Amino acid sequence: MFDHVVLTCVDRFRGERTVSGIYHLLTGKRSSQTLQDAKGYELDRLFGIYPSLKREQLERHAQALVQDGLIQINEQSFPTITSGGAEQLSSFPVDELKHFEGMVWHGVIPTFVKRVYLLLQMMANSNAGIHHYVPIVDDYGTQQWVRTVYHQFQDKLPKMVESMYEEIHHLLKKHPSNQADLFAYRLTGGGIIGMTIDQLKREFGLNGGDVELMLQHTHYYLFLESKKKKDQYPVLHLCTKGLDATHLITRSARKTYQYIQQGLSLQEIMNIRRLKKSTIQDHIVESALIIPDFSIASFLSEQDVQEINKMGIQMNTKKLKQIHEALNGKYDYFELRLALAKGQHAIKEGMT
Amino acid sequence: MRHDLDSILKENFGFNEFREGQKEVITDVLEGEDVLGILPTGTGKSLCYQLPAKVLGGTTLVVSPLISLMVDQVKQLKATGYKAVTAVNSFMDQPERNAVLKNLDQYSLVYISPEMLQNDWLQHRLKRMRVHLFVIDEAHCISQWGHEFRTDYLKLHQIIENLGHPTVMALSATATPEVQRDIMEKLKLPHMKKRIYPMDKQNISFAVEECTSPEEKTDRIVQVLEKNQAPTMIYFSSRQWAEKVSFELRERLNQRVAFYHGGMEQTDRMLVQQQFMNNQLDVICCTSAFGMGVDKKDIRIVIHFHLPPQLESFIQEVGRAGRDGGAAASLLLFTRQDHYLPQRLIQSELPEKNDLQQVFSFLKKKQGEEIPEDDGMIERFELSESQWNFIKFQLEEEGALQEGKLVGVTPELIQEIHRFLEERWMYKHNKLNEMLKWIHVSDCRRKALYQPFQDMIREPTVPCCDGCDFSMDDLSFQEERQTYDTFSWEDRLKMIFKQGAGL
Repeated sequence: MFDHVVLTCVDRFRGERTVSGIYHLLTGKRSSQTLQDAKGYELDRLFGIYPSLKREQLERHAQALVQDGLIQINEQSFPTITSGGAEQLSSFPVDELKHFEGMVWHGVIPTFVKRVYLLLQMMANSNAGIHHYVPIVDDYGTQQWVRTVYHQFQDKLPKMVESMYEEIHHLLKKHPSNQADLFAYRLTGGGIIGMTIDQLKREFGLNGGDVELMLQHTHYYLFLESKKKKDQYPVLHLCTKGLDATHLITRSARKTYQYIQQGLSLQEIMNIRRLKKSTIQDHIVESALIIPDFSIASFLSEQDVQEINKMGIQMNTKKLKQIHEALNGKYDYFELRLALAKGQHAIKEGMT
Repeated sequence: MRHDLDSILKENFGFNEFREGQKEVITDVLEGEDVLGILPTGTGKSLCYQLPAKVLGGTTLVVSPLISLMVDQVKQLKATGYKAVTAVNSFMDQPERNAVLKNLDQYSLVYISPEMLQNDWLQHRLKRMRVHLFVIDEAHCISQWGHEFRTDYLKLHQIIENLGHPTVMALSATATPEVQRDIMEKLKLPHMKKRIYPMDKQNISFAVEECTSPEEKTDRIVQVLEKNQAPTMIYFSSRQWAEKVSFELRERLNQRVAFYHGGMEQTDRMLVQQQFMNNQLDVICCTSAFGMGVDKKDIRIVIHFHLPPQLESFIQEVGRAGRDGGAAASLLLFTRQDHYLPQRLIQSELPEKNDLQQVFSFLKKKQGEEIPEDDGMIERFELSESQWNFIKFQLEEEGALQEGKLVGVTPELIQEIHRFLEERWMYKHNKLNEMLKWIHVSDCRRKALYQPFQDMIREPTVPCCDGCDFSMDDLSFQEERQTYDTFSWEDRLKMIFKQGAGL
């Protein structure tokens, strides 16, 4: 699984980003560079799906892939996929990671996961007559949430326990069985204590990273299904309540965006916010990436946007430097980034 | 006022009778007497204040040195249904801390770290509450002659005074007569009632064995655990070793082995603790971070893979075995090289003479200025954090550090701190030497272990020690355990939800 995720990143980045770029993508770094990469290289599903990943761990893994002949890393430390790697990539069962939607949901998945694990422990324990126990989730907010649920539905509890079992059973039945195994063995409740990541690795003969990603994939799956189908999965749906799509725009960028909507110029915003020009420009690019109907007409004309994007497509690259040179320096880097960010939406809209 | 303590015990805690010492200590504080209680590990020290907290009403304040210990205890208490309890500590997140502090007077039991107590605002808040009992857990920390000296404990007497002198209960599991005297002196409570109970464990057999290498130690553990099937703890002095040996034991033994140390992720730490409590694990390879709040009654074997730095730690760790009163055994393994390990530990705690010299000649030039930042000093003089803390505290103690400014760094002062440092070094080395001496004892090991702490050593109910009539090879625990077959996810889910019979 980890192999596959890394290979996918290497493949999509086409030798134009380093291992560091992959690290930022998977851990969900909120910089305009990473956001732009995620969108531009169509890796937004994998954005932020592995927040606990360690940099060294990824580097070691990349080295292992080199050893296995699946990727190559050049002197500038840009990895590219080999034919062997491409082959492995295409043979991977798509079902095992099709539910990731990192860019949209990575911000709320941790809360959902904590709620599910603690609610399940509470319900299974009450079902088994265990009333005194140490909560498996050590988070004040989540404990409060479960407490509220408990008080609200006290009289319906037995029904809910049964429903939760049915819901999880039903969903896991349609899920790859190795991932279902990991999830079931991670759960705590009814007098059974779940396994640590290390124990799961050993029990199921998996490598570092695989356990975390497979569990995470199951979390996304449960979340998305129950969010969509309230009637079918009422208890799990309860765990998704109030958890909405992440507005990936940073608070600071949002402020800049609002000033622009009010018609202020770049220079004016710089003065008001006492920020560097480059920071404000980052905000503008970020806004263009995230907010589809954000108008950039005051910075670039429609023709300019088209010309830049056409050149990118023609040269089959997202590298700013190459496009910059090909257009003889007609546009600065800010304009290029902005145009490409905007172009991203045009492509998507064109496709649908 | 007389209370029917037995029925209070039964009603609130579900026990039929008190363990040794509990009733006496509780009666003392209910009668308003300050008390010093030395009760051995595993006798339920915490009940000694949990019960009075119920009876007295108002708030009982418990000062405890280790945040992890506090948090564990609060969790355990809540799990048993004691809800009006909280631990005020620096690791709480903001919303939780706000919620707790706002309603502080609603809690019957408040655990707090000595650092937190220094906070003016909090002191003010406490002053306006009805604090009826002031408990000092691990009271030996107040004594420089205790094995875990904590400088913040020295300021406790002021706080007691500020709070209008509520009844004070000082508790420890390991305090020599010397430390006991020191506790009363530092608390400025010379008339405390002393309740001292013997700490020798009559149901534990002792053995010490020399090995030539770490590999041989592991071999020996394999040998012992092949013959014995029972809850076992193995103590290590480092995380790396705990992990390494746990992997090897997993390979070589038909037992369920896991490691535990402070460097693990929070969830995994909790899972391992709970698995062990729940008998889903047989052997835990751990550092001293394990077990503080974990009260597992049926641990049968405690093995030390490394030498603890002093007898007190050893006694406390061994005391985790056989809390149910059943037979248990302690095995300590050492190699000749091990003598240096605790030595290095001491070195990282205390500054060396040369370091001290350099630091002071630097600070002398900063008279009247603010004391330099911690990180800067640590880096500049290549000190460890606890070494720098030691120096800073000494400056403060001697009045050379006032409101963050350096005043009067005089030669006399430097002399004084030098002298004190030497004492500390000596003290720690003596402690280590006691430990070393003990492992080389050739007659009764039990007597040698407990003699510094009590006059009379009781007859053991099990074979005594390898100096008398015990050998590790005689040991044979064969406890039944649930099998650990691999089930499919469907079976596992059913087990958790108890759906369908037969599983």
